[in-house]
Amino acid sequence: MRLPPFAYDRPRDLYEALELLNSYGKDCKVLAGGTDLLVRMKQGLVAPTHLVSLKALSELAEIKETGDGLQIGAAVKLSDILAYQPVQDHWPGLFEAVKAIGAPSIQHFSGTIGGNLCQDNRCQFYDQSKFFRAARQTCNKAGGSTCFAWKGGSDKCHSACQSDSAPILIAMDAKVVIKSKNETRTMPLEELYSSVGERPLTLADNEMLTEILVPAPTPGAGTAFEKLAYRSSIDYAMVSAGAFVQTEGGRTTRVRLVIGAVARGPLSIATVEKTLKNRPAGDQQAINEVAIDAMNTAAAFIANNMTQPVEYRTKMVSVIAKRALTRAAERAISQKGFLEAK
Amino acid sequence: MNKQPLEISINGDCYSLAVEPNRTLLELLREDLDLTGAKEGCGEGVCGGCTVLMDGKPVRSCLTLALEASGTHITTVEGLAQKGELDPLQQSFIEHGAVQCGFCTSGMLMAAKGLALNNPHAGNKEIRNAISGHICRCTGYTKIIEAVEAVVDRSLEKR
Amino acid sequence: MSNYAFIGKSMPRVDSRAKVTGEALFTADLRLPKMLTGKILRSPYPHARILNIDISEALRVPGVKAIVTGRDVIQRKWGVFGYTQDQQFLPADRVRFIGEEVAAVAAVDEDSAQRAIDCIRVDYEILEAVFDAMESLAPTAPLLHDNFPHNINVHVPINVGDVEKGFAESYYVREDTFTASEDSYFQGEPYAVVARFDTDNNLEIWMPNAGPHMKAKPLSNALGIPLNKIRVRKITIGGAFGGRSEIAPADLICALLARKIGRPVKIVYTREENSIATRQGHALITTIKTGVRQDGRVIARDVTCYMDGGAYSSTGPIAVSVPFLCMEQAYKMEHVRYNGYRIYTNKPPRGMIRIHGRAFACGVDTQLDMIGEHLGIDPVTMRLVNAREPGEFTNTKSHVASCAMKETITKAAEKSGWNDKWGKLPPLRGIGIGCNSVQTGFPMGIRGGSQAIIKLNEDGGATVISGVVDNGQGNDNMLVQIAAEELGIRTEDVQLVTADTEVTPSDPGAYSQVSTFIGGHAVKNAAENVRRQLFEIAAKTLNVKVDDLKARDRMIYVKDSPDTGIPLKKVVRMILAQGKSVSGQGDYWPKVDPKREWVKNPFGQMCGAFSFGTTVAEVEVDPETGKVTVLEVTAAQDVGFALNPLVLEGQFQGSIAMGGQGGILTEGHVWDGGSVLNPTQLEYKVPLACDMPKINTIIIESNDPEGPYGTKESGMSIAMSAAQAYAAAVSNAIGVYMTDFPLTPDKILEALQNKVESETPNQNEDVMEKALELIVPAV
Repeated sequence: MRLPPFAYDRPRDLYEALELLNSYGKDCKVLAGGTDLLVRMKQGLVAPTHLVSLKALSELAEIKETGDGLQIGAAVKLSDILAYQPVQDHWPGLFEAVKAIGAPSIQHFSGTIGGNLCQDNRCQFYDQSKFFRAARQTCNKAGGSTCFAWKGGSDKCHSACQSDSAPILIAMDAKVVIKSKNETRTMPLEELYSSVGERPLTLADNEMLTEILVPAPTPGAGTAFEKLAYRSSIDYAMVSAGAFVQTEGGRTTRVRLVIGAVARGPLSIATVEKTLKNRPAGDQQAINEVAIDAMNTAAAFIANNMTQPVEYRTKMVSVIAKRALTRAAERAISQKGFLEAK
Repeated sequence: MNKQPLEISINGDCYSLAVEPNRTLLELLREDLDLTGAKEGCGEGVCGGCTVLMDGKPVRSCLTLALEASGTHITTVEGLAQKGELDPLQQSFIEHGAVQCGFCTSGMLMAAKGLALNNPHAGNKEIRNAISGHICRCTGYTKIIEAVEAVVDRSLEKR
Repeated sequence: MSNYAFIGKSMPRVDSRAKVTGEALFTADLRLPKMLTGKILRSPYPHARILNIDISEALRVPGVKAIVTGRDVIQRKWGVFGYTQDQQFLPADRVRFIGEEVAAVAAVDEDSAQRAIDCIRVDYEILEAVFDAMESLAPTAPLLHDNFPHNINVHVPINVGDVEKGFAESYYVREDTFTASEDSYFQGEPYAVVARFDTDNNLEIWMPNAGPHMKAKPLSNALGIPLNKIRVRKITIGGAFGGRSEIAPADLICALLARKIGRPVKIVYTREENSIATRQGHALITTIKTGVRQDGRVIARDVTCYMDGGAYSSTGPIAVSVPFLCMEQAYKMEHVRYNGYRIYTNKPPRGMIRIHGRAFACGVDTQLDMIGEHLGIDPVTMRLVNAREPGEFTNTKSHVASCAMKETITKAAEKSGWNDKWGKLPPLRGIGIGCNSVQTGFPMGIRGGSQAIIKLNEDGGATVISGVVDNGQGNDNMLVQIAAEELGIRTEDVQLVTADTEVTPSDPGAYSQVSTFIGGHAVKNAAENVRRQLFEIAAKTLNVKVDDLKARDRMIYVKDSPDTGIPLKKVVRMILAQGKSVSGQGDYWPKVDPKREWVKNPFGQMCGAFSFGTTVAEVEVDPETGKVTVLEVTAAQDVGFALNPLVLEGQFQGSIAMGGQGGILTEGHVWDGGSVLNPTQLEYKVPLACDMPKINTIIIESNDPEGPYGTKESGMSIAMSAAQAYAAAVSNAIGVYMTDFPLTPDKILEALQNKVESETPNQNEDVMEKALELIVPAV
């Protein structure tokens, strides 16, 4: 499979990269690990005239622990996150999520955390060859006006956000730093996602995700990530969930649950806080209730965008949500491998 | 599109080349340099047949622009043997019957080599994990895992 | 028996060094001077009339050298059998599946070829299409081929004894229906062809194949040139599994392009093309009615099977017959009736696959377990009671000379700890057993035999010339082992010239499991012939009888006095000095009934030998997700004799991965009309290393009287029985007999939930539903 032609730049520093983004505008894509973008280019789904490589930007390839938490450059390789001891010790949910991305020799040594967060949405009717798409109407995401994944069609794109790292990072209240030539803004990670299938990110054409900021671990907190796929490697999630549970004296004081792979963006379950707050951490009945809520919330979004049946994926939201919340709560209570440093 | 300069070391040989931006590392190896050991089984990074080492780490050459490999050291399956002497992994693959049709073999070897370089203490689970991004239709993986385990074991003995 | 130097010994394969160093060349690795890149334009429609093809714009694309369409081919339909000739390569009038070849371009590079493909304008008249075998049978369905009424491509009727009488005499009779979606080969290597013509109009062609001679004849017909001008060359092949057996349209297209422009052309398929435009496995609907005695012995079986064959015949009559044959070989029954139908649909054509007819095989064994449960008989006993035994005849009159089916059952059960586990495992754990039998060869008429030629050089080295092809299973090593053994030389002394139609005599190919039985046999006979020539001279020199000699390690010895010997190469030189060359031929033809025919006369000796395999699988099911974890698999096969146990183990392990782990748990195509939604390795779930279970392999040797050294087919009856064992184990774990394959987690979960619902009567419905939505309580 051949790549279409494009021009290639390898800026030496971030400033130069942002200059290039500014001048090329929408015809340009940022090239990080390439494991997602280059496949899409081969399939003819995107055809940027310019690629701006992050290869030489060492300032984006740094991961470090600060007093405020974890600071991860957007171009940090997934394998470097996995190898970073503080992540193994204090952010087990993040470790689980990054480990679950693709496979070691595909994504881990090439793919970057920024690339995983910024990957385009997926759909079984869209992520196909030109040949497959040639004989059918152009779908919303490809610039047309139909949706094959939504029963009866739709004027909206119903692709799914397949980032494994987004749900857990959002659950942990991670922030992202977005830069353009003239501006730097820091915002909650969830605001990176537009929930618009056609254009799932809120980044402007001249903007780049440069950093992810993960809050420092607090005493009594726990995180967990769960993913369901047919195979234990390579596959995208049918359903995933990131959970954060903060406890005090054995009771839940703050909790977040974010479901991945089911909606156009990571799906925050709003009712989780109300149901679990002040209940004993790990209260199975309360977690079950939240899990059902998560399923009902997700049911409104799940489309036929994967080869696995919609009904099954919908049911699985409750199971995966329950497992993520349960394990996060267990970790919060036991504090195992999470707060040893404090 | 204009060709751009590329300085690259492949299996210990240094090349000064000019390549088009849309040339993948796999195309460079196979079509320009006749290093056909890396295989294109899918072209989208899934099968693992095109895996090479870039500065000692296994990467998919079908999803790596040749220009992105600028300044790096690439090892392909052709570079595993040193002066006619097979790498212990190659020898182990032969002895354990880990090779059937051979199409996945070079990718498997490079993933195994990457593991051996980065984690010489790897156990069964790590080995399975390291090759789980590689699809083999012939062997059921058992003998491949045994072949890698044997080399890891040997390296442990030396300690 | 243990007196062999190489036979029966585990030895690394001779081809593995080239493969671990990356030096082994596959078709896509070839590069010839002036070679062009070929690309194929395919139909985007499942069923359409081709009204016009306009290539004028495409011809103007820079770098384009040749374009071929249906106007460039001889209008003659192809089929494996005379009565199944239904496929026109590069059809000029009508396309019948998405992906069918319409035109092709040769250009200086891939980009130019693709640009030209994009510029070819085809006017289609879209026709009504049908994608379901049962709908295709309806009188209102569009007809795919005018000369095949009701879209029935093949009907195989077999009727032995009186099934109705058998049912009437039965203690218990039941009927069940089993279904499966299409599966696929997913060979490591995507299809590729390189073709070139020389100035004398000889075609040289390279492609992955399961029998070069099976490619050569149809190419000769389609190109209108004699067979001796078709030179299918040897090349490393990245797997076949039944999917590289026939001529492929790309073979002809590549040759046509090469002939038109007078330059070599290479076509390399994408993974998607390999999935949609080579072959797939059949989808199946199988209804099995079985009557048994009180002790579980089957008296009568009536099977009706509908196979979705896709748009063309391929190996249709064989494909319809084989699932039935496997059953009648594995299990005894007095009366049997079979009606197998292969139905045309507007989907890619289907061929034989390693676990061909999984719904059929799994249906037979699942139903045995259902019957066993009713009768209070455990699965192992059910199989022992019905297992084939040596010396018997199958219902269609094949004599089974060697058979250790019962031993495979008892050994596999013992090794897997069956007695400690059956009925005693904790909830959601399950154990299951499956048995099957595979043919060592299909009747192939004038192409059924193999001939080999061996020449000895003055230094004592041998060159073996044989049509046997190695698809990856290790056939090359098998030939070297046999030749070295018989000639008494070392394996490094043997060089192969194989799988090349210019020089090697005819051979049936690798796809009917006969490479050792027939091709290896021919090499053995040739080597014995050459050895006799050596022994005659050596006997005179040593002053002993020919029968007193043996050859080993480059020496010819007197049997009882190992110190009396003469170097083999010296004997060769003595013969040469007499003005004679040292070479010999040998051939082998299977002792099959020449009158047996797949449809018209499915009776008589089918093949020389049958293999028998039993697999036991132990699984655990996650009751919340339906996901299956496979804990341990034990496979035992009667292989006749193990030529190379190391290679056999690899075959068993690969068979379990493809037959059980993939074939039953995850693999199947998903469709949107005639479009395959999962043509790639990302979405079609071939098993991965991280999910494979612990595997025990047991080799059982029944020493077949006809097979060389007693060998017969190996591996495939493990692939089949693994599918059956996996299915049985999952059913056992969840307490529900599963009938629709593959057993993906969604189906397992649904079955579990239905079971819980049916077992929990009179509950408040709301509460029930809520509980079920979340989790299935432990069963």
